[in-house]
Amino acid sequence: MWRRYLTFWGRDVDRDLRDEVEFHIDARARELIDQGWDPASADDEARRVFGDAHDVLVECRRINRQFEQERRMSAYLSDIKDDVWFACRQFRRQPRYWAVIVLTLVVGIAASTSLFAVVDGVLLKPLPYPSPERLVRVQTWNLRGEYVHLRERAKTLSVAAYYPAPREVTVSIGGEPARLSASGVTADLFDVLGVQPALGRGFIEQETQEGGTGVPGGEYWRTYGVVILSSSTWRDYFARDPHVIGQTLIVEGVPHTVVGVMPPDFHFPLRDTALWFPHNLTKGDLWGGNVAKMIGRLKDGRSQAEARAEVQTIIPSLRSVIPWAQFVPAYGKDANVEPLAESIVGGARRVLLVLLAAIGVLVLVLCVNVANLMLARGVARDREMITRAALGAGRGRLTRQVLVENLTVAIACGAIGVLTALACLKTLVRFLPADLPRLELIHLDARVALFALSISTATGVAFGLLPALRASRMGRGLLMRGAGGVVVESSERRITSVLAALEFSMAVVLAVSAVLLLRSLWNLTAVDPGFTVDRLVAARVSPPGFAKRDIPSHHLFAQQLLDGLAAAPGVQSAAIANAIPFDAGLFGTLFQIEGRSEPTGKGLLSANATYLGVSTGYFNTMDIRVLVGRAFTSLDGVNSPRVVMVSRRIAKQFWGDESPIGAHIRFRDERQPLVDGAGTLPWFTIVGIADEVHFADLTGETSPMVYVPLDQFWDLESLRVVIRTDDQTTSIARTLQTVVARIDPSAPVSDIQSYASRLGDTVARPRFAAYLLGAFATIAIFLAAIGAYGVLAHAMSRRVREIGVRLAFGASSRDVFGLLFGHGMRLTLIGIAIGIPIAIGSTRFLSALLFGVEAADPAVFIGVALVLLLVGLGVSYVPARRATRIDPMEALRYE
Amino acid sequence: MHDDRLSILKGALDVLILKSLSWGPMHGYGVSYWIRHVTEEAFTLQEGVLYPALHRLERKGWITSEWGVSENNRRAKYYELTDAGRAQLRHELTVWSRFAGAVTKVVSATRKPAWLLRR
Repeated sequence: MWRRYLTFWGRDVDRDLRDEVEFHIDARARELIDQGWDPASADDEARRVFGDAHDVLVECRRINRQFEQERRMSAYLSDIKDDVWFACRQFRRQPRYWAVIVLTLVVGIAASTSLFAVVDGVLLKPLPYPSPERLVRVQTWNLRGEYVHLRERAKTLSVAAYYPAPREVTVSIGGEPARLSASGVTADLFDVLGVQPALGRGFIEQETQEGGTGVPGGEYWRTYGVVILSSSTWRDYFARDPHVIGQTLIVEGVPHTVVGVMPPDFHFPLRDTALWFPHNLTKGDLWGGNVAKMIGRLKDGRSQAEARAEVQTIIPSLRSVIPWAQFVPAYGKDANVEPLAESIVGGARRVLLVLLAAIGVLVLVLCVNVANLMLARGVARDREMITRAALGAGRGRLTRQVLVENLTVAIACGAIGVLTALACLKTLVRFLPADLPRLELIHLDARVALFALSISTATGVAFGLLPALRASRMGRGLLMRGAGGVVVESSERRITSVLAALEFSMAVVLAVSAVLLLRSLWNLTAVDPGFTVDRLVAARVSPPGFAKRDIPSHHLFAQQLLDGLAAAPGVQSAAIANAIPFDAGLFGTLFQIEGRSEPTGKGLLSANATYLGVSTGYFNTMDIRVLVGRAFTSLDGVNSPRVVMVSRRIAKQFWGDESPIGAHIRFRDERQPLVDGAGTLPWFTIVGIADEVHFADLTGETSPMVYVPLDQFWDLESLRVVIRTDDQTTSIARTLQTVVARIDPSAPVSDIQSYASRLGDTVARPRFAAYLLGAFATIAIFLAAIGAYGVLAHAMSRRVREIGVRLAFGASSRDVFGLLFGHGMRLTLIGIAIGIPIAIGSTRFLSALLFGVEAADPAVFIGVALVLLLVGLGVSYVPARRATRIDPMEALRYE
Repeated sequence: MHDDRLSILKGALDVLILKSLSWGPMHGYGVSYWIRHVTEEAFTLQEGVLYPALHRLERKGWITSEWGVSENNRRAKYYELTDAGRAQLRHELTVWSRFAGAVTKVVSATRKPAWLLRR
């Protein structure tokens, strides 16, 4: 009443004020007359001293307006406050109902926020370098000489190169040996990335020339005895000593001078790169591939397309100087330039996008579910709304109240969800596959918080809008109709049914995707790697400076180690190799077959294979079958005739049905002991064929393998040890360390890992995706069940009177059962029918992630449809069954 | 010729009005009359300026108004101080006397500061 009065009061103000002013002037004039003015001029004088009456009026109006606005604003705010309080009271009144909604929302928001943080860190954040959009990856065959040629001739971009494979070196500081991840980089790499050392300097051109002394990373990787430390190496091994520059670090037994320390957030090329050495590159070295991966920075004003065109001209033109180019027609055709960010994220993109899409669908299911619950409750609240409308609450007021109620819940849930995500994120990151790039960029920041806030507000509005509109209709419609019982409009029943059906559809999509990924994962783990994983343990022994020692000392160390292990307890058998399956690194070689020439007739045929130096017990220990011929024996020593074994694939490829036993091959590698010192590459005789092995990964084809006896092998940088234990105890690590310490106490033993877990690591990414999607699908099915149940239960309670009437008029309980059961099954079937085409459409995007299963595998679709049908059956049965037990008499009295 | 009369600040006008009304209910003209006589017409005040100020104070809830009959039987709007207005007046008076006291001390100072004597 008071407000109404105030609103009207404004209108009378003008007249009141005019009266007041007239009174004032009149009184003033009288005063002047008393002082002796004549009446005519007294009035003029009174008006003069009063000033402009119109101005006064205008000013008063302005004041009125201003106060009116403030009052309205504060009234609005206090209404909102009331609404929030009212909402809170509501929550207390129906704790179980709200608990379901809050739980649903918190889970949804926490899950989507933490996954968004992952996607944001890995995919969306720009590279942490200045003008990251100008950085590109130059795709070539990564020959050493390519970089030098490109650097001399390219005008559109400046290039830098680094050694592409993860590489570890043995470092001793204060007598403690440690293995650190190292990288070889050209002097211009830090300039191209735009990051300079925090302390000291980068490498200078001279330090990357051929002819350095120290050899931390084998032949390709000479150094001038200088090293740059990562910030964490500086912290862990030098205690952040500000005078670290100029100090000495023993790398592989060779003293290196520290010339620089990189800033803390610099992780290139790998997250754990701890040391950088100069990578020497020679223009003339166009032999070995995959030793110098290139990045580039576009020069000012040059576009990526221009750079690509230039690289695609320069690289193929190298065919004229590359000695073997004539044998490899494909060389240079795949040269390319692409954004560096894309190339770093690479294969992770698809997995993450699929997961993001999945979380989107899940959030949608959550919203639909909550909206449905709210709508159902909206029906139950009709009476309250009618009462409030009757008491004078306007349409806008009712709508706002419902919206405020829902937004309060949504934002509160958003806050709890973000906190939950914050708590879970660390765990989640640990659970992520370790080979995912850019994991270090994942954390909850303002962007992620903003995302969480917007999705919680969006859900709040989305799921609050339907009930709010309903409330506003209530306010108008039902008030007119009077309180003759609550009428449920059929359109609303339809909306809730449609929403429940939609939940089934989305559950179908998620479940199909999850099952496909799980089957693919199952197929992956069922792949036979070619050796027996059971009780097999791998380790690495890396005596300092091992790569630099001469070949006899390699063999001596290996023999001592094998002898020690043979006598150790718990060891059934043991073997040593330069590399073992699933090692990251480059173990390829070019070999030639005696008497085989290129189809063109020019020279000998060169073929690529993975070559391993293995000790005699290798095939026995790994349980790799020798199919034809013999395995190596202790007689295949350093001075015996040279022998090799090849894998079945190589035998098949080059000899077909004939036997390759007795054939000769040689390796195009000048580092091996040459014959007669005259520079002739020695020939090796094939003595056996070994069964296939998955060396690089499980998904691809088996690798073409060539095995060389360890005693005749030359490319040994550290020792890979494989041990078949005779039980499952873990004490094998200590046994190995004891054995190694007895031979060389300064040699670190690292990477001790059972082969079962090594195998697990190779499927870490698909496993992560499959498990996560499986969890989403389970939640979605569960929510769909809750949603459908909620709809049916409410439909039943709303139709109690109708059912009562039907029963009273002779309907059997079977009819009643059919009524509700039919409703439930109808929405289940419609949901599944809508879901399957959507699933067919969307699982196409999964096909690149699948292994051994088709994206459109009918068995998967039928299986999922059947499971959801069963869920629908269960959910429809319970309320329908309850409806048959309704007592008609009571139902008719029911209100 | 120099005009000795002072122009008045908006904030000060509020205090003057509240103070006038502290004697009891008054109409606008009464307020203006009282101020003129107490100050011996020291202020140049367009008398109309009083009314927006009264208006504002009323909306702030410091005074209320009611139509009544004046001494010479004319209809006039009478203003009266509310409790909030009385409290506001007390507050303004403390502020004012502290301000005025401080200014008076400065302008009526007779001794040159000690640290200037050295010159």
